[in-house]
Amino acid sequence: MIFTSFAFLAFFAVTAALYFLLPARFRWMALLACSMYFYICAGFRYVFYLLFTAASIYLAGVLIARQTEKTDRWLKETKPDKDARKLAKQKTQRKNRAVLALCVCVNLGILAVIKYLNFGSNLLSVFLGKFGVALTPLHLSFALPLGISFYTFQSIGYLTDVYRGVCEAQRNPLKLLLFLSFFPCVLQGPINRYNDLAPRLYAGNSFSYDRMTRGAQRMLWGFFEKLVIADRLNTVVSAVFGNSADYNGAQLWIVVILYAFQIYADFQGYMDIACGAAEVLGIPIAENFDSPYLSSSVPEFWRRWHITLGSWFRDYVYYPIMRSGWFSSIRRRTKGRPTAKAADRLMTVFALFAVWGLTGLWHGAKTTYIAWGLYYGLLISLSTLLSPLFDRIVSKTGLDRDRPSYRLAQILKTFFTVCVGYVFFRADSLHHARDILTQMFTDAGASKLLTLDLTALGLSAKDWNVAFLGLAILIFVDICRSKKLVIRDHLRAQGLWLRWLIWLAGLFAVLIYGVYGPGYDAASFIYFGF
Amino acid sequence: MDRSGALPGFAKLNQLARTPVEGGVRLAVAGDCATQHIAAALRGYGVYTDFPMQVFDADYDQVRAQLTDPDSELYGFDPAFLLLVFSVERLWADYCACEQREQFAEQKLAEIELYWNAFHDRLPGAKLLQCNYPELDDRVFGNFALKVRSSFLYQLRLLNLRLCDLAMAHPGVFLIDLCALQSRVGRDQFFNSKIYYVGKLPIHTNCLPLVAKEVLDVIHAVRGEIKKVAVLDLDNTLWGGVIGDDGLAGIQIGELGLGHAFTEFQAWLKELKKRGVLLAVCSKNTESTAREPFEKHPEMVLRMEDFSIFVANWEDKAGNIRMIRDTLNLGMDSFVFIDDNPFERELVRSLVPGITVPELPDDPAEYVKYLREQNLFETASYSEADASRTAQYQQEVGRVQAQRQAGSFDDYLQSLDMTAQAKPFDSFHYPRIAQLTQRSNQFNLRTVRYTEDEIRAAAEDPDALTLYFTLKDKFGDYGLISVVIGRKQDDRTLFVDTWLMSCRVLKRGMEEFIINTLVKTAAEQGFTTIRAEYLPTAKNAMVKDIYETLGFTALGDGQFVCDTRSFRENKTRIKMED
Amino acid sequence: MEREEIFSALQEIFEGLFGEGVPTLTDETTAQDVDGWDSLMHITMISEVENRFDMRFSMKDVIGMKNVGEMVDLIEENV
Repeated sequence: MIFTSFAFLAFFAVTAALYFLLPARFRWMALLACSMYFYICAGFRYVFYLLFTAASIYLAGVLIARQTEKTDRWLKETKPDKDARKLAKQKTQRKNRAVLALCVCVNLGILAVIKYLNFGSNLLSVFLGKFGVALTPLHLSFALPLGISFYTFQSIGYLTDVYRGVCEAQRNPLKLLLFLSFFPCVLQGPINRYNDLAPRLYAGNSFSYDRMTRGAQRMLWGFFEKLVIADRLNTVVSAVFGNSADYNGAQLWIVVILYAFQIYADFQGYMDIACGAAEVLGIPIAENFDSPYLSSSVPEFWRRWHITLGSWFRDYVYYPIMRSGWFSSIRRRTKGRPTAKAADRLMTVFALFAVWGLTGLWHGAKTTYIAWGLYYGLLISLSTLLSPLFDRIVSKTGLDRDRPSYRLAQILKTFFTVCVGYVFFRADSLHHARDILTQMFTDAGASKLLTLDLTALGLSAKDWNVAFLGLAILIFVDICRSKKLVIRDHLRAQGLWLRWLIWLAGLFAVLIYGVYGPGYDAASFIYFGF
Repeated sequence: MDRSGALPGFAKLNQLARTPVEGGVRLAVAGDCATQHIAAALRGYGVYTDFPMQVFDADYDQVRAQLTDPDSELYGFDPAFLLLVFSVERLWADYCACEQREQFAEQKLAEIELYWNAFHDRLPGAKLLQCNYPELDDRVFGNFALKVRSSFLYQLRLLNLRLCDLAMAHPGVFLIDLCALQSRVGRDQFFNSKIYYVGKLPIHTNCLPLVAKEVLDVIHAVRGEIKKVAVLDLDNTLWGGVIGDDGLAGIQIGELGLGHAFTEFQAWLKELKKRGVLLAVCSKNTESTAREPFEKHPEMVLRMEDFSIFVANWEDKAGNIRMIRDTLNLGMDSFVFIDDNPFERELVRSLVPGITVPELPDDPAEYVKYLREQNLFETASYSEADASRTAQYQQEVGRVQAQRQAGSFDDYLQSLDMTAQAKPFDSFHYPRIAQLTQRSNQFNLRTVRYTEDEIRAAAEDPDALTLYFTLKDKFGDYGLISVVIGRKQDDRTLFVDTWLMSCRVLKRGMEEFIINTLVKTAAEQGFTTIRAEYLPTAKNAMVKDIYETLGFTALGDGQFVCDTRSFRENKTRIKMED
Repeated sequence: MEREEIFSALQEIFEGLFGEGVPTLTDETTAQDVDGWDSLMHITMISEVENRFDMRFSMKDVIGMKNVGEMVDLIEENV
């Protein structure tokens, strides 16, 4: 049941009605039932993977909480001296860490087997083949449960938070299952933090007309992004990437830029539908985007693009590596020596590459995704290493960093850097990506740009007009968002007629200009595959 | 903007303080302690409340150096306001070093006055904001300190009290009551020894947002940005219960239980009214039902005569508030709306831009405490006339009704029997005149703000022509409602430096009367030309063309001129009182 | 509370006070590693940390702490 289908709208209407009709203390159960139904609709077999993860995480969480409580009670009752205290705490921590490690390994193991085993054996056979060892790569066929990367990460985050004492362990297994399977988030994120989502998820939120209209408006905007913009651009992007050799560099540039907007409108559109639906139910879920294409540097872009994934990797991978005992001992050993700075930088670069390689891999078992991740690892390492030098150069030249023109140049620079990254992301293979990039950088002279014929890219002139108008609105909305202007609130202050006119116009725009496939269901979301 | 609500913490303000700000009010901060944090809090609070400010921070303990040197950096900054912060810890150290302890407060006071005078000699127009001393009991005498004139506690309290007297004699100085702030939050919250010893900062960083708010409240008041009207809901706001359902005997008011909280709240509102804040009622009720408690309930503190306007109907509140604004003829940013119902508050907040809507606590017992903490009604002047303001506005409402009955507008004006006085400034009226120059925003041609001192100077200046106007009609006395200050440019030319008028007397023929009188007086003193100027502000667009309408010739760019010899009197129904 | 949790709270406080450019805090991070960490900001940071963890440092600790690791130790002991 895809978000942009009429089935989903009907499902959502029933869910909302059920939710608000039930007494407050049963409402979370309605959510759980509906979420499970929603997930089962995607495929009955997948449910078992989800249930297994939920069960293992539940047990591990309760176990960790019990051990911590036991130690705390013991400390309270016997009031030992400082050293004994420390020792007892360390002992519990070791035990808890073992539970955490085991549970994380099991769940990551499932993810690895299902998603990465074939890919890994393939790589291995190629690698061994170079040394003359023949190995037949595996071709096991697993059904890839939808959203597995998202819910696995969310559950690891939860368990780590329990271990770190950030959140209480959930004692009700059904409630924990709801946390992992909440239907707006289960297929495509955002990767929620337990403390942020749980209170409102389990509370029986009362109905609010205001929230309902705001939520519905946000959903409408999400449909617009997905159906009018993303799916329209999809036609061009698929056609051109499918036969990239037939197009010149200038055309490829245009299509890569369009792809940047397609993927954004697609993912952000999904998020707006998810957030809007959750808002109707009175449950705020994490935001994934903060006008990312208006960032003025690559690190900033990653703080504003797929925010929940970035912060997950930061908190659960990057910081732990940087603060690990191993790194600390290197720092201590090099302290005061001339090598200290170099060692520190080396460690930072190592951690960054690890994080970004994994981020790439998270998106799927393909070398292109890994290349895409490492591309960012390289860029962000360079930016971390060189930014002090760059700052010095800028302050020497006396450039005013707050000048709009400087900012605009930075934004464009970042955007094009990101676009180049998308070539890896979208290409079928590394060779394909290399060919496209070669064409883009050698075959895009001014004459080719000037004689560009957009209609040769597979959309009619009318569709181009709709696409460009949609993009203009998208960019406008993003600029408003970045300036903290909430368009919905501004429209709310308008008169009744104007307000409704605008919302109805939006609705008809989606109905008329949306791109619908057979059976009036739209194309799948890009992030569905991850 | 709406300045009510919970304050952000210091870390947040410190972060906001880094936002670049263009232009705005220039504020310098100096003290005998580290003031960087205070300056950062002020800067951040300015950004937080959308009030652009340039803040200059004189370094640690630079008061004497910066204020006594006329070429100092501080004077180079040319502040419109100077905030002086003196720490009680330093005061105690000075006290320890002092020989004649019974004279300590007076000596200190003389030193402080020296700073004030030095500052105002160098920058006569700027305002000085002086913090008083938070209390510190050194416990050297224990409680007996109160019976020893030379004890630190006695001298400290004397000093704080004498600071009030001294500030009264200096119209350009305003006090910031840190002593009251400290007793509100408690010494432990206000002062942290560690922070003081490590950073020489005598105020806990957690308290700095409160200090910044207090300072900005005073700055706004000095600039005339004050609250003049409190619009009140009735049910569960002025009394407990719902009059329509519970009836006269059923509502909670008086000395018992929850009623006591409402009684205190009403008493507080009554004090505000006596100070000159107008009270208005805006309630969803049938009018007769809503009036009943004020007319019949024996324990009601507020009475019908305390309200300038009473609106009880079933229309929506935003519309009613706009109607109240139009009747009282005041800007929306001088209105405060007090209602216990969060829904009404949200509605008014979103539909009536400019109005301040405090987030009243759920518990009525907290109303007074909360509203006192919010300090919404800060003011920078007070005169006897303030107390009778409610009566004036009630007359105004009577006039509005008379107008509805009269046939034509001219008939109505005729029926009012208006008489006016025009006199040069006299010492009796200095405070009221200064107050008007501080407060008038809409009918104010050049918006020059004057202190009492400057008004006195103008009155005594032989080259200035000063006039104040009073007006009364059969409904009552408006009192002093308009001020004109002319400055001699040369023997034949008079320049109108200030003309402002209370908007309450708009469209009565008073504008015509004033200009007629001004031209006549100027001609009698031998002037042949009157030059006038309109300086636009955000609020005074209504008088853009007034000179032209009244017979002056526009020269463009806000300049006007009038020849007293060829001037033709404007028609007016107002007679000169003899 | 586990050290990692203290670190992430500190990281948040530091980013609020010193901006996005704060390096990853580790046991060995000192005032020299963080732009803008002067004696004035030190006070602000100390009182923010105290507010966040609802604890009090002693004067000796405030003056004596050499790096973030020591601060985390103190917080761990006091919370």
